Amino acid sequence: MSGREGRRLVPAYMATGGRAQPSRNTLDRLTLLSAASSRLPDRLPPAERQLAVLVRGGALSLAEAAAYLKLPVSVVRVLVADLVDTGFLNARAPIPLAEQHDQKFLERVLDGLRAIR
Amino acid sequence: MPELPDAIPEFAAAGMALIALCVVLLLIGSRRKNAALRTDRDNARAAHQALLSERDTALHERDAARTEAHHINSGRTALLEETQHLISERMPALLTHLAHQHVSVPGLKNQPFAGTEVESLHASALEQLKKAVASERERVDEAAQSVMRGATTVVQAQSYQLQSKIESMQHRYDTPDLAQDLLELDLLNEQNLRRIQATGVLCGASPGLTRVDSHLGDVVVGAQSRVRGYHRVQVTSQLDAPVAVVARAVEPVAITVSELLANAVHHSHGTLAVDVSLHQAESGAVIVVDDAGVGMHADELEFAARMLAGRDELRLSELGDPPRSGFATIGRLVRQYGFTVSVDKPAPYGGVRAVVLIPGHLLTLLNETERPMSAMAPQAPAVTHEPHPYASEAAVPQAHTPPAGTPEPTAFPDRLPAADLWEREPDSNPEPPVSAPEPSAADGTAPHRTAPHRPRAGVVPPARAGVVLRARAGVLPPSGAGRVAGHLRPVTGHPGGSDRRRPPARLDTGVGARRAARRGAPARDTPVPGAPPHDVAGGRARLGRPADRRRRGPAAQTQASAAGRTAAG
Repeated sequence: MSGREGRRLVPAYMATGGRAQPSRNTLDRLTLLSAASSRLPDRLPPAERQLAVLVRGGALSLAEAAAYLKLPVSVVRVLVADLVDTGFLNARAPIPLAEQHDQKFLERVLDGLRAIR
Repeated sequence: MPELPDAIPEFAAAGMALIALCVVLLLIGSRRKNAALRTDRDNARAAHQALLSERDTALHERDAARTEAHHINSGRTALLEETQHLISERMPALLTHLAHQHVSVPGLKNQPFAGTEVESLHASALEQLKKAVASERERVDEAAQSVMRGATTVVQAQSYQLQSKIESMQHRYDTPDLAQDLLELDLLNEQNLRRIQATGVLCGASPGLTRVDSHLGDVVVGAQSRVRGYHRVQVTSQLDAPVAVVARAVEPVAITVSELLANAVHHSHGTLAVDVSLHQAESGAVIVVDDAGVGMHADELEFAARMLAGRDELRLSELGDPPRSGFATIGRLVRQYGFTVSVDKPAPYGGVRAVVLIPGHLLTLLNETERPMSAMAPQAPAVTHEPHPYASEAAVPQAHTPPAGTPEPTAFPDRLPAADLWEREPDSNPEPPVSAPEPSAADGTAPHRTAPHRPRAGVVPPARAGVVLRARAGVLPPSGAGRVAGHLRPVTGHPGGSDRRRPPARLDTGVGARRAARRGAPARDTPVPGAPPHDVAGGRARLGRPADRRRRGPAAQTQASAAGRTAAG
């Protein structure tokens, strides 16, 4: 926020009216956001509107959205929760990293299959 | 003895004669004596008369002297009385009057002194007293202001440090409970800052912070954030251009708006909204603050008008207790920075309507791509969602490119870049670009890299000039001020009809150029092919109202020519 643009002019609490408690606690930094409808509602608070416009271009993680909006993640989480509540946004848990399959488990499955035969 | 008898008559006669003579002589003598006596008597009478008249004169003089003595006595008494009146009535009344203007100073007690030297002497004594009190009061007040300045400067600097700390913590920690506390701390700190900063300004300090050019919407929302009841403030923007406040005026305008908002919020009921709207006007930009509170009575209005006029030297002791510092603070800023604030307009909701008029020389236009508004800035009403009339030609598919590729959210699809707002200044114009004193901004070279056909500053004909905005070369939008043109109402009469002209192609294509082509830019002015597109350092660009933008300058024409080429291809 600093650097060329200098000191921030608008504090973060203006985005949510001072709320930092999201209405759902399933959102984290990696939650993927995507637009749920192509139509933007007419009356949205400016920050929610900006977020809604931002994700119209494609899926975006919550942390990325926060960076674009130059807002703290905690605040963006509230915005996302509100937009999800009103149905303009889809939030999806992040795709977990591919894991090495459990070899013993696979062997037991194989054993079971052979036992059937 | 015969002779004896004979002699007897003779003797007798002689004796008689002698007697007669004696008698005559006696008579004569007596007459003379009589005459002398008479003369003496007359003299005595005359002397008597003289004495009488002298006595009369003396008596008269005595009476006159008595009268005069009486007059002098009564005059002396009156003078003593009058002086007593001066000391015990008029002087204290004057001292009270100097503190409270509504207390009147009584005049002479003895009207006979009116017009005399006594009156003028007493008046000059009062005048001297007034001067002495005023100069002493000024000295004390300035000392107090100086102390306050020193104190607020330190506290303000520390509050900014605290603000930075809180902000960095907000970005570092996202636990909801902690974040909630940080937001609350932030708000508290902002309120402190507002108080401290306003107090410092009131005491003659500078706003204490220099910002960069900032969008007007951000300035107003930033001001809103400093007020305790900011939830009740609703900001709407009627701006159809990315109007921004120049760096030096950002904090003054923010302080002004926050004081007006604090006033509005404080003087209206907790359930009532305070409406703020941003407008463009002929001579600048206007911020209107409406509250639905109880309004101000005549005395308050008079005080506010006097403070907002910014003419009088400000005294802390005039602000009352508790001090009414808001309008006085604004008055200081008004005097220093040259915008105007008025509260005497009729208020639509029965409360107070405050109007801030920011003149053109304190405004500029910002490139929204490089310097986007904050997410909290109010959206202009013209941001529509239906397909824009120029959207098909506008070539903004990058709106939906993955945001990860670009460093900032440039891709809002409803923001069309447009260059036609920025018109090349005609060579014949009496106001050459070099006459503008504004230096190029530090980041002025950025548009060169991003856009080969940076729009150029131009001048709307003075008679039709709308909002005159000083646009520095450095911050001229590379492709125009997106939302400006994006929200223009299509000009009737030339939707790309038969009057479309195709001058020789000269410049690169651009959205604005295409739009210009659609509008059928008139080719009445000679294009300036030699003029480099970036030679507007220090030039002045003016933003006209929609009607003004119909007149196209050579720049638009050259772009139009490019557009013609594009259309042909």
